[in-house]
Amino acid sequence: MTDDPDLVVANDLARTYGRGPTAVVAVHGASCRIRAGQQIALVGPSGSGKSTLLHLLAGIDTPTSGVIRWPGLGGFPARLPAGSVGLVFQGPSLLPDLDIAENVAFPLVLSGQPGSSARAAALATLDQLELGDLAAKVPGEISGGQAQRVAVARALVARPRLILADEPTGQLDHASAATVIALLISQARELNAGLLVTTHDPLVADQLETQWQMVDGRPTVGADAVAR
Amino acid sequence: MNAGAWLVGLLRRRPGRLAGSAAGVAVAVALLASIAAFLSGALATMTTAATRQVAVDWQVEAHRGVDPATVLAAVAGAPHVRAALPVDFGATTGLQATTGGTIQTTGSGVAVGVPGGYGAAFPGELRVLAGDAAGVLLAQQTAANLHAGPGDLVSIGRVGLETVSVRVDGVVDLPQADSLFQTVGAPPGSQASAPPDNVILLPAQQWHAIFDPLAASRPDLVQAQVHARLDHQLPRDPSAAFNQVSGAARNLEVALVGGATVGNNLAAALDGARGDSLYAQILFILLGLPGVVLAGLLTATVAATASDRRRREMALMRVRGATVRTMVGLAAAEAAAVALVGGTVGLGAAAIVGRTSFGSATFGASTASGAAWALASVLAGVAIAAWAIVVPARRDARYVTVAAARQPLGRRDRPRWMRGLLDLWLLGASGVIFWLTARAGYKIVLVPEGLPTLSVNYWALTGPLLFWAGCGLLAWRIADALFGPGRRLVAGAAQPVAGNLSGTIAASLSRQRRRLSRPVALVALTVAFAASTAVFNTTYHHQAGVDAVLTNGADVTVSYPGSVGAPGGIATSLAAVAGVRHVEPMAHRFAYVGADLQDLFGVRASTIVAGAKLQDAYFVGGSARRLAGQLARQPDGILVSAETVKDFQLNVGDQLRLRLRDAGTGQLTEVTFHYLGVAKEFPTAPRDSFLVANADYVAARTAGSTSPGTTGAAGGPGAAGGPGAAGVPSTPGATPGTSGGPGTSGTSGDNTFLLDTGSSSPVSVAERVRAQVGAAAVVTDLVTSRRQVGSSLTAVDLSGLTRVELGFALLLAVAATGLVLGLGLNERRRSFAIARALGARPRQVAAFVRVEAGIITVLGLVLGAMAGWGLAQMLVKILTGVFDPAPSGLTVPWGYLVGMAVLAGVAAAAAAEVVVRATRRPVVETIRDL
Ligand SMILES: Nc1ncnc2c1ncn2[C@@H]1O[C@H](COP(=O)(O)OP(=O)(O)OP(=O)(O)O)[C@@H](O)[C@H]1O
Ligand SMILES: [Mg+2]
Repeated sequence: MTDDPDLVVANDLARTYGRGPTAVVAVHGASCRIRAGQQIALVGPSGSGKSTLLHLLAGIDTPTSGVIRWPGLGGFPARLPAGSVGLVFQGPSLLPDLDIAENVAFPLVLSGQPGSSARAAALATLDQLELGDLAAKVPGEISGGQAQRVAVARALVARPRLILADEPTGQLDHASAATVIALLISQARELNAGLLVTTHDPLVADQLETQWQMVDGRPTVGADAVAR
Repeated sequence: MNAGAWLVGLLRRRPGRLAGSAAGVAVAVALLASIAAFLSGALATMTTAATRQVAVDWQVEAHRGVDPATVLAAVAGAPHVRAALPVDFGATTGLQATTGGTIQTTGSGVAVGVPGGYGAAFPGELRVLAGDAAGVLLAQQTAANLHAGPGDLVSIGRVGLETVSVRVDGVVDLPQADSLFQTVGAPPGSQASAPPDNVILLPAQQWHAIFDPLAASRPDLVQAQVHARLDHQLPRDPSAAFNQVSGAARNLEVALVGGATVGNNLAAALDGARGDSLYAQILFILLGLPGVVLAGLLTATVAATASDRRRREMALMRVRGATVRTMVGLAAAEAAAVALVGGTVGLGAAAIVGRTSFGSATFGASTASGAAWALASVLAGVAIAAWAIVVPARRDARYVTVAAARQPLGRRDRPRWMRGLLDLWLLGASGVIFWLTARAGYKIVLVPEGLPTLSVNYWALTGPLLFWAGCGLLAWRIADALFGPGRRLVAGAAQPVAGNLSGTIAASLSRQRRRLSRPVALVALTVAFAASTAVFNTTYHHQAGVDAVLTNGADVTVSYPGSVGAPGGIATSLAAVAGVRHVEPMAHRFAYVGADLQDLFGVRASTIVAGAKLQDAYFVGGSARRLAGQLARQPDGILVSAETVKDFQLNVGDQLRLRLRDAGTGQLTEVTFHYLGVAKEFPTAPRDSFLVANADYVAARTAGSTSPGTTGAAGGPGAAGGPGAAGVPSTPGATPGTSGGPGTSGTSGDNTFLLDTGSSSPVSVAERVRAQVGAAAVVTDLVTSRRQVGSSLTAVDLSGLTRVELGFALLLAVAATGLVLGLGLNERRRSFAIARALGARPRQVAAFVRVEAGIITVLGLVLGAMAGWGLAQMLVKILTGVFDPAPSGLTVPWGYLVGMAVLAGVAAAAAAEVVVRATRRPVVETIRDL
């Protein structure tokens, strides 16, 4: 266990939206760590702060208070190397003016890969998700579920060390949901990556080895991993 | 949904879109109102300028056998007439004076009888140079010919009667001699007769005592006129003023039942002004309207930046049960708010512009027209807002389906105009119209035969407008092709900024090309408008300067009136005056071409081009330098007017025989020349017809023998057939008898000297020259004459309009690049935020923004500059009529153009930076907000 480095360590994080009487405390007193190879389901009622925590862990949002570090990703404090975190958003997040292949290749291009090799890698990933047919379409031309799977492909294409997926199966039927989760799990294992998936679906949650419960803005059950 | 709540919501969510639309409307309203203010002011200025230069408004000529008293009573009683005085003309066979022991005689002339108070009633007609303003007055030229002045006796010759002697009281200048001695009732456009060389003015009583006997024996040699001054309470528009004055004159003629003819000098002056006023209106159409159209396009583009989002919003509203009517109603509320704010701001801006540029804060000549213009401008603003906001909303509300609304790229198919090749059709049509206009000699303001009204060939004006529109659409097509099929080029261009991202950026731009091509077209249209306006205006100002140079001849011009002649060595002493860089001597005299008397300029072919700063546009059939070279090689070469070429069917090399007065004998002798080319303009030369030849050749051929030539009166008695006909001089003014040769030591008879003052002030150099030459010569300078000469259009001075137009053009260019780019990029903040979330560095996101902004700006500027160049060529050609003289090429205001390009670039860069900065906002919030 100790050979697996901590990918991300969060200590007493809080994230408050707005100020004064209308302020919303989305995350509060959250402490957790994710190690390489660890696979976690983050469950909790709607509005409990799952997405907010995930964004904080991804480094695309800054905590109102608390400390967060990414020791295993070499990023400190929040300047993570491009492609080291694979992120799936809860809502639609494909770039509308790029076709599907270009969307999937985008993280690779951002990390400095030449366009042709990035495209080849993207097509390979799409095939793995059985999305090869969509490569030349634009996001406006595919369904919501297809878009979600493309987003998963995009999160995996750069072979990330940490995979953070926000409701990746929210719009999928059970069969496709199972495929997507299985793929996330197998890829995470292959890459020895840390995996965190938020979900409402107990079936999905059960497939992951660890479950965290969001209560009162903090992950409680299984949060044994809290930084000491 | 409540429209108010909708607006408040819109204001909170889309303040940029609302403010941008309102700003576009404000620019349109302000531009329209400012130009209207200028125009109505300009028309009024033209009317006043035209009427001010007229000394005698009407010269009513009584027909033979009609009692002049009846005519006088009728004129005095006519409406608008303020003063009416009788004036009589009588032909004299010649005048003679004995001064200093010598006798001087002139040829035939005219004696004018004027009543007391004439000078006061018509202040512009007489200018006293010496002696009294009343009594017997000699015209300046006549006084010079006779060597006579106040106190001298002059005898007046009469056909068939003995001469009468009168004592001279004063010497006067007759600045308006041309109209004073006009042939009243001659059809307009007929060859104007030169005024008589010899004129003496007598008090009415004295004239009657001397000429009533002549009237009894030869009634054809006297003529009675009534001169009238009108109240000048005229409409401000020159055309309306012309109509009123012509109508009044016709009424008078009718009232006199054919007993008299009105020589309508006032109408003639207004006639010129109304042509100019039409040109002013054309300038308004060609230079102002595109600006208003641009402001409208800008508004529409700003309003359309959020069209994808609006379509999605509408689709949602549809789902929730909103009717098309509700949605259009909401758009109308938005348009009304935009029009209200834009209209108010625009009128306020126009008032400020009017105050600072035209010295008036009102938009019209009168309160009523001011209000009308203000209202019209605001209505234009309302129309723009409606067209930019309601029309697309209506279309979307009708046709947008939920599925299409989800499609964020908008419609993918090529616009209908592109498929129908509308841009090429427009350019083709413009080319055809331009060709037709060129073939018709660029006649924009038409003077229909026999009609009292002028008309504008509006058809011809559509040429440049269609060209402009066609270029805009073509720019659109080019941009579309570049972003689409040409995306490799885009990727290549993006490489330095974007590195390995360039392919992705090019792909992204290619899918957005419908959205991106439009700003390119807009920037191109704006730049074309601004550039062509600037080039046109600069060329116009340059030519106005050239006009003054032509009229004055040079920075400073020294001319010795014919009979006096220039003293020897004058050129050398002029060159010694401080500030004089070069002295170019010319010999100005007259020559008969057939029966036609023309000015002849004897020049030094080797120095004239540089010395007189001759432009190629002055000549036809070769450049100035080439024709001067031919003149130098061919001593008997001559340049003539186009009219002469036509009249005599000349071909280059043809022989041309002119009659010139011999310096020695004073007799007309025939001199042979060879036709080399056509001169349209020449320094100090009159507009219509003149000749240019080698000074030495002319001097050698007219040096004559050794005849002393004391009397050169060639005009026989009775040669004049009345005052009108007496205007045809039988003694060309250059060398009247007494002068006995040029009277100069200058071998070529030089009497006109063009002084180049370099960087010194022409006014102060003229001052020093005047002190040097004394009263013997007339010294004029460029600065002073620039103020005096010129058509009423130049009198108006376009500089105010130019400043306003160029200011607006600049504003539009900056807005087109900055605002449109900024808003367009702003719409894609969400995409940029997602890219950031996926690990894009700020530099990488900035590359997206900068490549897009850079390509749109550079493409727009380049295509716009090309279109502007073509447009300026076309405008200058089509509006040849406003140029006097026609320019040999465009004068390019590089400073302004470069400044505009830089400003547009800065605006684009600033807009891009604002967006880049916005992409640094916390990513999650941006993604959620949008
Ligand atoms: N940008 C924001 N501004 C204000 N409040 C926000 C913002 N984002 C989230 N919130 C609030 O913070 C709380 C947590 O939101 P979050 O999206 O993290 O919940 P969640 O657990 O992901 O819910 P769900 O399961 O529905 O996705 C909610 O009450 C939400 O309203
Ligand atoms: Mg969530």
